[in-house]
Amino acid sequence: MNDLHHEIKQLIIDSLDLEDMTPADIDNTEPLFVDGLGLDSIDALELGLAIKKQYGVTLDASDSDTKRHFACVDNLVSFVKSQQN
Amino acid sequence: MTEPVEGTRMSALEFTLKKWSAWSPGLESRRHWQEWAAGEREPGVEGVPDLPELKPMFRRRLSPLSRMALRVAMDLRPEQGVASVFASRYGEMSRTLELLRTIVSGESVSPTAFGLSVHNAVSGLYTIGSKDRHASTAIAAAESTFMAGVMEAAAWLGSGAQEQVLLVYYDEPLPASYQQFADGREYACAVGMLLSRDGDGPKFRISSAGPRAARTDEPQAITWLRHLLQGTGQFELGLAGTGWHWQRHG
Repeated sequence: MNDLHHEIKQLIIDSLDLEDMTPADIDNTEPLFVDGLGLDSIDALELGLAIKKQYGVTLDASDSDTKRHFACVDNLVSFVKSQQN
Repeated sequence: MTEPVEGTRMSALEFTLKKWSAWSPGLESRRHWQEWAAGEREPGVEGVPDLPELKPMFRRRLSPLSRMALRVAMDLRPEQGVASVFASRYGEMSRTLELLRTIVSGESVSPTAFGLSVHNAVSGLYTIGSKDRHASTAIAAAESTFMAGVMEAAAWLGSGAQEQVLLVYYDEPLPASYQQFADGREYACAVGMLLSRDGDGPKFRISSAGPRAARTDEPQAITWLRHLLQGTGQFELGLAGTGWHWQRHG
């Protein structure tokens, strides 16, 4: 697992109070919302804010790509990387 | 005391107390509360109740205050659900203060903290967590908060709107920055009653007793619970400048 994957998983755990979880519990390709990890719409807002704060990226709620970026950890990692380059 | 003129008199409210429950750090069972009422036990300051009925993904967002309120609500709720009144003088004041600090520092506020800082947050958490679609409301009425909750619940029963009503009072000490506004002894506690139009349990009759100054040396719910556990036959609690006489039968 590379560092950014681990970092984003830890960010998910910390920002969403998933106290009983460790980064190893979150699969890179598992859906974050509803099925899979089971996060909800409030978590989506909270996670968006945490990503914005930590990586300084801009998120547009009306952008249809935003939903895709938040689908799983792999997508979030690609998105953050693309914004940093 | 002169009788009010017939026709302007507010009729008395009556209800049966089917069940009660209370939770405070260190006062976590009925026996603890009995000992407290006998002057043999004091509440502690830290600790949160378990809520095994609720899923971990749901529990993770609950503040210590909402955990206390939900513990009492879960203790009392009938399986088929029940209409509910949630009464709190200060509600989620600690969360609110934290949000204000975040805004002042120029940072974005947490959507979760914002959503759960509103006064009806616990009412919403209860109805979602227990999948209860009955009516639910949230009340704050300064030092008369508990009495205002009782009045609301008793009115629902009296009007025929509900057969039984769950009332939960909950509060915690004000954060340090607001301590100058505290006007009596503060408790971290939740006190709940399941009120019913009839059935088994102590029966209470509440009637207006005329103008009274507010009494705020401790939360009303604490005073009420002490009377309940000591078996007091008659006592009084204020509501917005009026005294309300409680009479207990059985």
